[in-house]
Amino acid sequence: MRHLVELIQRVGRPLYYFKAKHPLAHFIAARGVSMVVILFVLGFAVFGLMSLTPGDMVDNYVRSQMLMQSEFRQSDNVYSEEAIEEVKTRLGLNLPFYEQYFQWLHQVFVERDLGRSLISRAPILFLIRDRMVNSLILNLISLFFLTIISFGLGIYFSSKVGTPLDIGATFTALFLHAFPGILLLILLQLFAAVSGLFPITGYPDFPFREAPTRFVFSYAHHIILPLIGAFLSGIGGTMRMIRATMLDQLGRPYITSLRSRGVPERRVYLAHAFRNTLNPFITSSANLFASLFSGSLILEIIFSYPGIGRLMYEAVRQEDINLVLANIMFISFLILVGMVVADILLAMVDPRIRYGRQ
Amino acid sequence: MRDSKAMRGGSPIIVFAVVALVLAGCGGSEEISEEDAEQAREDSRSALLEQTTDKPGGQGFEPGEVGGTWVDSINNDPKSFNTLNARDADTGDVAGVFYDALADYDPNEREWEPNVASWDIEVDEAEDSLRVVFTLRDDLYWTTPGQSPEEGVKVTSDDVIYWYEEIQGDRRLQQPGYSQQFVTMPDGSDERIRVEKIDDRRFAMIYPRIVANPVLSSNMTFGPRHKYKPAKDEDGVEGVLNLYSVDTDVTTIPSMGPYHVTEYSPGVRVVLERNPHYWDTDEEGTSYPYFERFVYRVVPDRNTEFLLFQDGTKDSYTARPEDLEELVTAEDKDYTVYNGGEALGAGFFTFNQNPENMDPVVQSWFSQTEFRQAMSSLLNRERIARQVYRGLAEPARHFFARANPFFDEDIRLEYTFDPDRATELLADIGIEQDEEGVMRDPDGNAVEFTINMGAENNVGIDTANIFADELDKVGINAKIRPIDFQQLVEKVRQTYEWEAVLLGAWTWYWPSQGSNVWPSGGDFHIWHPLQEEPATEWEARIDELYNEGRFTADEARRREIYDEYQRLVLEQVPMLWTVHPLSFAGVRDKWNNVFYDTLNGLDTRYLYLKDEFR
Repeated sequence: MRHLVELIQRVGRPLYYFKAKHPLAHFIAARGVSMVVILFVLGFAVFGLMSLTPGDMVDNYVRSQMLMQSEFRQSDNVYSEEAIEEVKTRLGLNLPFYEQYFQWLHQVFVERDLGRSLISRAPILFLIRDRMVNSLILNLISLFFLTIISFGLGIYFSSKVGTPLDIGATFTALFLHAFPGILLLILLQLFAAVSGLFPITGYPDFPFREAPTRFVFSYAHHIILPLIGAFLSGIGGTMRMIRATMLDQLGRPYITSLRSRGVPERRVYLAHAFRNTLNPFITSSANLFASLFSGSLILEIIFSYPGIGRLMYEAVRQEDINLVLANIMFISFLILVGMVVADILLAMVDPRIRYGRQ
Repeated sequence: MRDSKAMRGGSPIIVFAVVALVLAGCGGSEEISEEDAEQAREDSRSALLEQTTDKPGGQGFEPGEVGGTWVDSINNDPKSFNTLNARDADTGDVAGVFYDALADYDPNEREWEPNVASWDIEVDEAEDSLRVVFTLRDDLYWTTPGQSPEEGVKVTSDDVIYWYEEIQGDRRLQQPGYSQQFVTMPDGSDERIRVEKIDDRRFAMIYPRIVANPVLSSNMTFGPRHKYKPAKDEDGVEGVLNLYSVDTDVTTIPSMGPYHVTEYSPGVRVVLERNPHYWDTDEEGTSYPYFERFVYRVVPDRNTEFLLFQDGTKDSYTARPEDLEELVTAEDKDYTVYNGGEALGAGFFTFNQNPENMDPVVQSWFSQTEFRQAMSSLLNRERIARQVYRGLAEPARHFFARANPFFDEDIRLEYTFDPDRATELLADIGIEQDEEGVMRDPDGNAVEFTINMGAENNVGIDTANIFADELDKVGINAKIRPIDFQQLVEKVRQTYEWEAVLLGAWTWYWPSQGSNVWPSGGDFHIWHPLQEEPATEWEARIDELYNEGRFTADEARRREIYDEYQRLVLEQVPMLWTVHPLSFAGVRDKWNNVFYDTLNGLDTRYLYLKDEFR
């Protein structure tokens, strides 16, 4: 037992010095390690959950062929149990889920190949690349506008607390917060159809390479309504949080002290109270980013936006395990990176936080 | 305290307001009789249908001019440009444009006609064998976009033979055409149909015995040998399946069909351009299709598709019943809504007659012909059409689809909705109502069962509820249980733990199709699969008729066989077909040569722009 403790201390000593000397770097490294562990467990869980669902992609295919309709002009699709088993063996679906998972890990990290979709047989990277970029663009723009506008409104209404304007704003924020997001998107699309001011879909009907400049303008036009949808769905909660945090800060003794010293009100708001609202906001924006990503599926379907959500939805429906796993890993990776970035920002904006000591 | 006073004061006001609202709701509207309501519904239906246009296809196309872009949509991205990987309709639509079938079936005339090949059938009755000698057209080429026929590769019988032997004929590729290559011999064994090259344009399919419909068994589409052979030689089956995945440069895919694919933007669109050297031409020698470009936009949501049609982006839209009113009553519309008539298929209920894993009491009811006939007499198809499909459906009364060459209008279901007849049929097998109105069998068991259907099948759930309601009126308790579709499949195919199910429509053009459904040994003989010996006399007779029909070349005799076959199925009602929904399609008025019906669909090959839209 004593040897074990000594061993742990010996191994842990360099880490301890590293932590003491470079707390932020240590924090980032620790987050990186935990991210890898989380991704590993997540992948394991995904394989496990997919194996618990009834049937698999081969059964799905046979089912759709046999139960939904028969091809008019060809003879029957007859599938024997042996034939079905043969395909499952070829795709490795007859293995226990953990073996399938370790095979996948070997393929990705040793052979450096994300593999091919089991359904389309296309390289996963090809399928994911453009859609991931589209989703990132949409969600980062949403996050940017949400941040800027909700900060502005939150601070402004905290200075008008108790006035009819503030009551009206609070009511509107609550209303938007409670309003079902899917209904909002449908209403926005109907508005586009009736008014003719905006396109019905959220993405240009031609690719970037065909006419880059025209594409940029067209994209800006197409993206307005989906952005408004994402913005209205998120603004209520974010604005209320900032307003509440501001009010909390404004009620603190240090604000009273600042005011009694004659510090201008503008400075009290922006340089002191506002700065302290950043702390909870940064933490929650990582969650907001995650929820934007996971919530964009409905938006992508309704507005025909070619994002990762649609691809993921189809992959799950068809039980294309390679594609599902790659999608989940990428999205989770991005979300975890967002959270680490949020933690680093926290350390930068709040001098009270000292990683390694707290 | 003040609050409770306020509440005491407020209560009468609320009660008064509620009463006033109820009275206001009741007053002012006259009661109408059921007949008047029915008449009003019928008037509304007729008014809707009057605003649609009947223009069935198959004839009357006039020569057109080349030009324009046709915009349509698909709900999902194509999964591959390799037809061997086409598992869904959208992929099938896109990957299918490169190839053409040897023969085409004309559902109007109910006969085969040459497509890329013509044929002669040589029957040797003495030897009980048959040869189909196909001759390919002389103007078929594999070309990529921009290539002239001279720059392309000529299509020869080697392409067809390679496809038959090495693609369809390779069991590892799991192609549906594989099983089509075998014929059941009189001794029950399976023998393969051989293919033999005669010259570059001619080849023969040699049948080991005479079959009734050799063109159906021989017909196939095929891909370019010069692309598939190197892929298979190099990487085997995997090489073939990996060919033309969606990351391929689409302009390198050779086509002998009406289009080349020139662009694929994932999640956005697929662009096809007409193949100017396509063999099928109008009487003036212009190749079909007439439009220069065909754009498939990827639109996952049906409502978005509808809005895109309404705002003029899409050129056609297949309307759902709930869309029809809005479509036909729109003002200043630049499109016409075509009524295609009844869909060929109809959803159906069926009852489990398999003794395995089945409650013997319930199984004994379902196995009696009178019980199934009574169930059919309690299935109110008119009510389903009216309430589920807003009147835009017709009751299903036939077994064969209208496109089937042996369809006979007069061979129709006798057991249509008639509760009195149903109770008589049930009484014949000792099932009668007790004093409380509950239907009981001779042993005193209350007649009750569960109907399963896919949980996502909303139309099916409404249909089953109407059926259950009619059953309830005569004292039969049917419980509706929507379940996950995969579970439903497992119950039906593997565990057999089900009582009654409602399934989607199956449609076959040919009586010889459904080889795993109709013969009693079929693995999808849904009500009692994989029987070693037919469990009932009528199933034994179905087996005989099914097999005799497949191998009887004499047309008159075959008609006799299939007439009896249809009558027997409609008498035994193993499946209770529900309704045929009406089909509607909206098409922009800028296109000429628009014809639409459920037999032919909307044939876009013939469409061309009107002069004022050029």
